[in-house]
Amino acid sequence: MITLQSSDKDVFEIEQSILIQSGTIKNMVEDDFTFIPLPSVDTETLIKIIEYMKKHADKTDSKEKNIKEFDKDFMKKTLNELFALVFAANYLHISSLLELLYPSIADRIKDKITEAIRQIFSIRCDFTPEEERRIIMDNKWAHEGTEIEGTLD
Amino acid sequence: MTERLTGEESLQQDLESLSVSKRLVRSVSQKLKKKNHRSVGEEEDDSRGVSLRCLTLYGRGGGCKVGADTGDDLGDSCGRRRSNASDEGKGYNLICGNEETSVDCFSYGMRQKFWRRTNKKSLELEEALQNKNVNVFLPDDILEMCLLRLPFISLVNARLVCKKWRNLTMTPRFWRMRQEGSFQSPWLFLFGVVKDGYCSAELHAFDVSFNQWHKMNSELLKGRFLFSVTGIHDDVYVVGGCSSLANFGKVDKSSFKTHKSVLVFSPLMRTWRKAAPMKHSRSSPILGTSEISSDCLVLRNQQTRGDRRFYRPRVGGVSDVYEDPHRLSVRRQSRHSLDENELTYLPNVKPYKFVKQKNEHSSKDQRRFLLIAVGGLGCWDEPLDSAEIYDPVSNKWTEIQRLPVDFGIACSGVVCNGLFYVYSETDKLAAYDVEKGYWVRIQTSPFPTRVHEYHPKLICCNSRLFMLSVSWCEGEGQIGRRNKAVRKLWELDLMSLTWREVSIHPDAPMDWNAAFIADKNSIFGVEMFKIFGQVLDFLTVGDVSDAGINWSHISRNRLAQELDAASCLTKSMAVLHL
Repeated sequence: MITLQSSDKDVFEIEQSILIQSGTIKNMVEDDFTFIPLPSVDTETLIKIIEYMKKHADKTDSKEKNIKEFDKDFMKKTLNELFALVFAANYLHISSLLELLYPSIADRIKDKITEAIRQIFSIRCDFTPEEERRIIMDNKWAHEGTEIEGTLD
Repeated sequence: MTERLTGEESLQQDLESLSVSKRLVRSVSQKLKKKNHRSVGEEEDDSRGVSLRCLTLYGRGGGCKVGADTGDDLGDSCGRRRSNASDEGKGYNLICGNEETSVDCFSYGMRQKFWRRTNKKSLELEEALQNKNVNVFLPDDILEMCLLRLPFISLVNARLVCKKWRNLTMTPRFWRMRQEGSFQSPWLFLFGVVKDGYCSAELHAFDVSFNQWHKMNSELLKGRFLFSVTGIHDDVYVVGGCSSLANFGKVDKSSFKTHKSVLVFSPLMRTWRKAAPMKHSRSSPILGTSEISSDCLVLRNQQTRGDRRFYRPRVGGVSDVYEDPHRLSVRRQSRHSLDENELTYLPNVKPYKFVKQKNEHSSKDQRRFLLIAVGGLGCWDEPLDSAEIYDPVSNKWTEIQRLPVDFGIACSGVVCNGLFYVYSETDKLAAYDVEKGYWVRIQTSPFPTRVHEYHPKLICCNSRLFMLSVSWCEGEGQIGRRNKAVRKLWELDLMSLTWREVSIHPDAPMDWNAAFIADKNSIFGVEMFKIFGQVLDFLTVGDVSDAGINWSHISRNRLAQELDAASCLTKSMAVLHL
């Protein structure tokens, strides 16, 4: 059993066999660590990560469909939660979870307009209006995807 | 009233997280201002130019409308106009505000842009209500991983976010990673549309991931028609074609010129360039793109070399080898082995310059393609049997062996497993072995009779060879009743050389020049035809990985309304991954 400690100082005891899905933890276990502090992962996120690893630890064929269903539901979180998860999964080197998170995050932002994306990421636009106009003009056809549809029906 | 107030607050947040383009929102507000006579108590949100009170949002349950609320009071009911009620629009569910609508500001198309996957959208709106801002900082490498997976149009928007995002997404490395990770999706490029009698300079691109058509202008193509197109890497090659001499710009074959020139269009850079012209002028040539390994050397051998060519007879068939005066062979060679000795051994060989170029050339792609052009019509509209091959790396066309004698007029061709299969109007099948450099006649099991006017189309999907062919279908056994024509998809078993019917296309074959193109596991078809005075277009897709190959309609009547019936004849299609 390995003990993990979140940034909020909560401790979790989990079996080694489950935790080795995390490359980072696996390395530490190989170096004989049994207590692993994770200062960059908060409790809430750590709970989710453990839940994920537990589900994925038992990968028998019959469970594959269940796992897929689980993964789909697992991604139904707020964007904030997904960001926390991807940050933690990156730190912990859980590649299967990352491969799940990247497209999910991309899906969340793909329909958003530029301004909405800026708000989500708290980014300030550093283009001058002139620069912005020029970039739009460069790919005018891509920005004006609705034109044709708008005139029909 | 409290309900109302929270409604407005959340409304504000909703608007922010919606994919509402500013332009659209402004136009909405303009329409609303005209319609809305009540000015009392209405606050304008100047930054968006929309009266927040006026907009009532519907979420969930399918299609949604942004409607104008002309009533301040609760319970004020204006007739709700459910125009454009599609099959999606079942069970509107108000999530904020509770007024009826009186204006449907957007057409069906706009609605689609707003609410693409509505279930996801409603979830997003909810989460937007919960946490607007992100309090976790995403490092650049994670951000890049996410951006890689965005569809092309979203990427174009992402570039506008800030300079860092633009720099992250515009490097060649980023594009390479997108290609290698297969994060790209297919784009169909439709060329050759005719508008008001003129070969318009328009080309239409269909984004499969968002189900949207985009229009582009290309002055360079104005006046050119009956050219063939194909996609290689990120470029579309426009090969050959005709231009009217009598009426420039019109589809007029009374007096015309046939082109040898090849134009290359890059939708990413929005640029056109000229590639080397063909040896022969051709209109509607049959094109094929063959992938070769990047260390292949394209050599031109002299006739005097006298090396015997051995051919492998096709199983169950007869093959002929024809003497090739311009013997072209593609030989595999590693870079290292091509040294001086090699060159002296083949004294008449002129290796192309690309061998050296390959070292400097920062290969943005490991994959190399050759473009083959066969047949078509020549300067006097005579059918051609000549063939030539183009290497983009050396920018050179080289003639290759002509089509076999008695083959007939080539009407369709596709590359499959290193062989360029070509089908003739007289139902003959031949294949050009790209590496070995000769044609092989392929004898297949007899093909069912087809409707003669419809030329079959060969398609290759994942190393499988298919053909779309229109044939008569039994008309329910009634004697004297005209048989129905159907478009069927056949697959050729490459071992036994027998054709097997795989699927039936759901649409009646109204377009004898329907364009079909394959991309990985999907076959896309565009049909355009004039009926009841209108030109209609249908875009269908079939997935060959299913056993039954179900076809679905992905777009109907999205662009043909403005176009002439002649577009049916002149259209051609290419597919790229963006």
